[in-house]
Amino acid sequence: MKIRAIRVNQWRKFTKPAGIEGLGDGLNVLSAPNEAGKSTLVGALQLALFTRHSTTGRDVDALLNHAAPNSPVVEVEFEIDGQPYTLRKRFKRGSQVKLVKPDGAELQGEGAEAFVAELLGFTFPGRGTGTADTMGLWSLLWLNQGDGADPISAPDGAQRTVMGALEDTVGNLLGGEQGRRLPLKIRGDLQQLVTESKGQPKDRYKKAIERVGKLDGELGELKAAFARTESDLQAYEDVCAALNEKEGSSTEAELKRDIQAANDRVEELLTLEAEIGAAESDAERLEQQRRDALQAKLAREQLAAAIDALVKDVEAAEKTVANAREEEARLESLWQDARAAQRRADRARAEADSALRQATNRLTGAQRSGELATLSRAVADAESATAAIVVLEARVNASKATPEAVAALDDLMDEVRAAQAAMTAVATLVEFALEDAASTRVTLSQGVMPPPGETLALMDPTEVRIEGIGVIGIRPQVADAAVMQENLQRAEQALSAALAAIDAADIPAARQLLRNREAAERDLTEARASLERIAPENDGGLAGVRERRERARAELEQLEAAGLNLAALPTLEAARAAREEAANAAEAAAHEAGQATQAATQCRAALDEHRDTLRAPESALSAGAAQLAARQEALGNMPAEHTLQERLAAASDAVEQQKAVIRALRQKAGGDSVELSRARLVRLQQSLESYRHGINDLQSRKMSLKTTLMRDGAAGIGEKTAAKARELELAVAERDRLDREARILGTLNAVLTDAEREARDRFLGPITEKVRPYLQALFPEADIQLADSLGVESVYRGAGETPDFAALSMGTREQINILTRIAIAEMMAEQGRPAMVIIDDGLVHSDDQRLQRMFDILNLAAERVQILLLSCHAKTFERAGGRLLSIEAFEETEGLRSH
Amino acid sequence: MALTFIHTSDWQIGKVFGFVDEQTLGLLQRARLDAIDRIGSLAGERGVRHVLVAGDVYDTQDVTQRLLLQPIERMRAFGDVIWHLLPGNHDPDQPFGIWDRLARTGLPGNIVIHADAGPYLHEADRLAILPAPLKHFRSLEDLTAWMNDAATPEGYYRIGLAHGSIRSFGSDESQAANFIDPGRPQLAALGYLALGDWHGTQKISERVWYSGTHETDAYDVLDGGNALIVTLDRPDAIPTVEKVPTGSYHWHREEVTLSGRSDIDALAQRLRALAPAPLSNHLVRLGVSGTLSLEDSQYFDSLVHGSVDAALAQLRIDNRILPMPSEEDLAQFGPGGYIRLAADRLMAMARDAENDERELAALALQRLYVEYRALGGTDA
Repeated sequence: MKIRAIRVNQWRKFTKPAGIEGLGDGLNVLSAPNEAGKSTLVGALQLALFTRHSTTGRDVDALLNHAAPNSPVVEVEFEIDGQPYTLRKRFKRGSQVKLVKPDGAELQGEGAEAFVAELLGFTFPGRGTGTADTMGLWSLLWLNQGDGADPISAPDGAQRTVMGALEDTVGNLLGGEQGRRLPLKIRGDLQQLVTESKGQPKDRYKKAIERVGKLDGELGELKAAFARTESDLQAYEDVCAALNEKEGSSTEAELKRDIQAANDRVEELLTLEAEIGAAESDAERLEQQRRDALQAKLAREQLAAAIDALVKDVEAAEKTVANAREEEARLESLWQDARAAQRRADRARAEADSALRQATNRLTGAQRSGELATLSRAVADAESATAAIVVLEARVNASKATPEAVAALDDLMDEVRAAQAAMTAVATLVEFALEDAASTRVTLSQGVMPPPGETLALMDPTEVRIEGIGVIGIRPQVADAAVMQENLQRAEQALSAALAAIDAADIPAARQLLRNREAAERDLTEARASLERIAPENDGGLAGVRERRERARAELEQLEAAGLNLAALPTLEAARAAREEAANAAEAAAHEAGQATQAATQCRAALDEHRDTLRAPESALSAGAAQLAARQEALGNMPAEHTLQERLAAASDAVEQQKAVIRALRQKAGGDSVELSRARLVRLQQSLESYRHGINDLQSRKMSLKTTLMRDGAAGIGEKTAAKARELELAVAERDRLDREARILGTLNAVLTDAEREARDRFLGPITEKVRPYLQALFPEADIQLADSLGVESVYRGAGETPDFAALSMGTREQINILTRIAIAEMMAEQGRPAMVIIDDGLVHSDDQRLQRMFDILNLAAERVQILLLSCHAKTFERAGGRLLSIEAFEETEGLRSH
Repeated sequence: MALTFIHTSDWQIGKVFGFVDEQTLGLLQRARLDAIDRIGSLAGERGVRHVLVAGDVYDTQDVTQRLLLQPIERMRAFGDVIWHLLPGNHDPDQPFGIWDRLARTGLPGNIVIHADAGPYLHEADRLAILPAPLKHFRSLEDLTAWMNDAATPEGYYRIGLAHGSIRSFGSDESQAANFIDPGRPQLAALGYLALGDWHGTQKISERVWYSGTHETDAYDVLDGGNALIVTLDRPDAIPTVEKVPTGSYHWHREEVTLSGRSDIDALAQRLRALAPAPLSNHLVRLGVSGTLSLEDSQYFDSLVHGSVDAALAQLRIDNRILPMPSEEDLAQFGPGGYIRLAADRLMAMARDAENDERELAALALQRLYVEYRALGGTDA
């Protein structure tokens, strides 16, 4: 298909005839500013083709020009397979349609509409303007303003058209129309039985299942009712049998007879029991008398026995007390002996302590006497050392030859030598090699002749007088000779002054003085150490020694005053031995005294303890004696023993006689009792009552069962059960049939779905093949995957990157969308089907570089399919190539006339 | 004077047939009543005064009053005939049961219920009927035993009337329910023992017969739908027994294996040729197996299901045909369409003996074929 011209009149903003003409086969570019009417013309084209001329409503009303609301008119010239057609449509008032066919024939009205629809492969909507779905392929190929980056989702109509074309390309993969309708039919059938989401039974299938459950329950109830009837029947027969058996038996008469006998027996036993009761009462009284007699006899015997026992106890207690008192005396004696021993030991310990004190004083006196002698010597030595220290300190202080002073002399000596060496280095050296005889004949004008072999250094003019020879004048030419000499003199003067300061004649003397001073210092150190040893400074020095000596002397004087004979003091060793001996004696005495005290204490404790234990037997003895006296008195008040024995024998005889009377009466009762007989009577009466109840119950039960059976028999339960079973059987069959149907359809649907998906994947290959070169012109190595909707599912961009289409930039999306549409249009065109592409402002997000490449691609594609490119960017799209169009005004023709 | 009577049994009035539609059910139930008329008419035609019904007059013991009285009213119409009814295992004589209800209702004079095991004497015909009514659904005793000692007047025809089995199907005959000693005629000096319970007519011995049901009621019944006209020339004579058809419906069970269209055509032809006419009185249970192409399967469905079926009272098909597409079938789906792909896959599943779903796959394939054809197929 190729559009050649679009003209409108009274169409929105166009109040005069206007439009575009001269569209070429390939790329056509309409570039005009906003509001120029580009999209209006595209809209007019769409309405002209896809909306019935008779359509009314809001969308058509919107076509009117409000300034001059006349009928909007559109005229489209197009070619199919090179054959020209002209379609004119007027909407609203005076609406009409006219199609001029290639042969000049004209079609009008519905005939024209139907012809165009057939020609271009679309359908008209039931009402209103053409929709994406009714427009079919064209809604896919004509890209409206602003839709460029949206994902393509081809409506069903478009898909069908494209699929049809694809089938011609790759074969009947989708099975044509049947292939499209079949899965819908199968799914429709399946979804009448099961839910789409979870495949759960629904509608009649669900009802069939529920019906089976319901009928099964009802049948169960009927069967239960039937079983109840059977059970009732059996019960009825059992009741009848039981009733017959009861009614035919002699049970009741026998029971009545037994009841009378039991009643008589009760009366008889009551009389006998009264007699036995009286006899037993007498027997009880006699028995009590016997028990009293026996009790009295036993009481006397027990008291006598108690007295005997008590006598023995008292005797034993007396013996115990006597023994205890003997022990008390023994313990008292022991305690007295221990007390005497204790006192003796105390005296011995006091004497030993006195001897120890004397021995201690003698030892102290000996020790102090020795200390006094030692301290007196120490005072003398310390005084001597102190005097020596005074002398030595004076000597040291008097010496000026300190190590520092002597070291300074060495330095000064070095300076003299340096001055001499400096002069020697510049002096005129004169060597004399004189014969021995001539040595005395040669003299110098100043100075002394050097020894043989040594050199004479001369700084000053010197004359060598040789006796007999004359004078040899030597005049050294030394610069600064005077300065050097002055330096030497100054150094020598300084040395001399230093020596004089320490009273030394020369340096060796100075060193000797230093050594003397150091010897005096060593002696002083030793003297001080000696003093420190004798009288340490920490102990007060010499004064401290003296003080200790005075204390020792005072202590001795005290001992002497206390009676110690200082003149007869033993030696220290003897004093120590004597004191140790006295100490041992005192310790032994103390030990003895301690033991004696302990023994006395123990004896006293034993005595006290024994006296405590003695109190209880004494008390017991006293109490026993009192009790014995009381019981003996009580025994005396009781009857004599033989009297009690006689009483008991008489009572026992009476009891035995009464028992014999009772036994005789009981034998008469024969082991029966009133209670037993009454129980029997009650039992028999109850049995009779139960028996009669049983018969009544059976009769009542029989009647009830009879009623039930008669009622149920007429209810036709068996018949209803059979009918219900049949109903259930049919319902089960229906449910099974639907179940089978659902499974068949489910299986078929699953297999079909898989096969369809697989085929569709293969099916979309041709479009992918078409779009791939264009795509790779923009994005090298890129590839796309199409979805069933013909939209782009994903884009492969190399290096394993396959982003979703939606994740791409808007520019990239609009470029790929356009390329995909062109590919579809190309394929359609190759199939000889009408197809052309309109892109209304579809490249608004592309950068300049991509835009230029897109222009190239569009020009290439336009060799195979017509493309109409609309843009408001005139300057940019000047470079798009193709044929440049512009909106022009026309003369109003008949075809464009409005009403 | 010879004695002639009609022996029938197992009317099972009120029987419900679960596998038929409502209309057919009504017809089959009605037929069981109509057959009573035919027996009454037969008695009239042959001058027979006694009809012995050997048990199971009713299908169940708890029936509605209408159903209870429907056969009674049919019998009432044949006033010259004495109808001797015996309780069977389906309608045992139990307190307040069917027979009590009938007795309370008030029976016509030409109907005798033999609810007690004691001789019934018909003096005019010197007929002594010795019945063995069932009191329960099953009895472990041979209820005919009492006949041995039953005293009847000299010269009377001693005719036993009982319901049960002369053979048990277990290993221990002594434990069989409702067991009847087939030697009873000899033991009890019976001229004839009329038995009910088996639904097909069967001679057990010269004096022992099962009449079978008067109107066949199942596919497996052999020789049903008859009544027996029994004649004894004297009390100890060997009876002559004539089998007379009384049923109107004919039940068939057939197993066929189909392998192609010709087999289907032959089957249809055979079914349409069932005799006697009318074809609408025939019920057929057809077991079909074999392997058919999809086209032939559809042909079978359309011809047998959709056509022959309408001619019969009922055609019940146990379809075990395995649809297997032929090359022609597959060609119907086009050379490469995805439907062909789906068909190939379903065929592979159907041919896979290890696949539990193979039958389902075969049926799905058949369905695919049918739907595809219905949408126009490649012919469209």
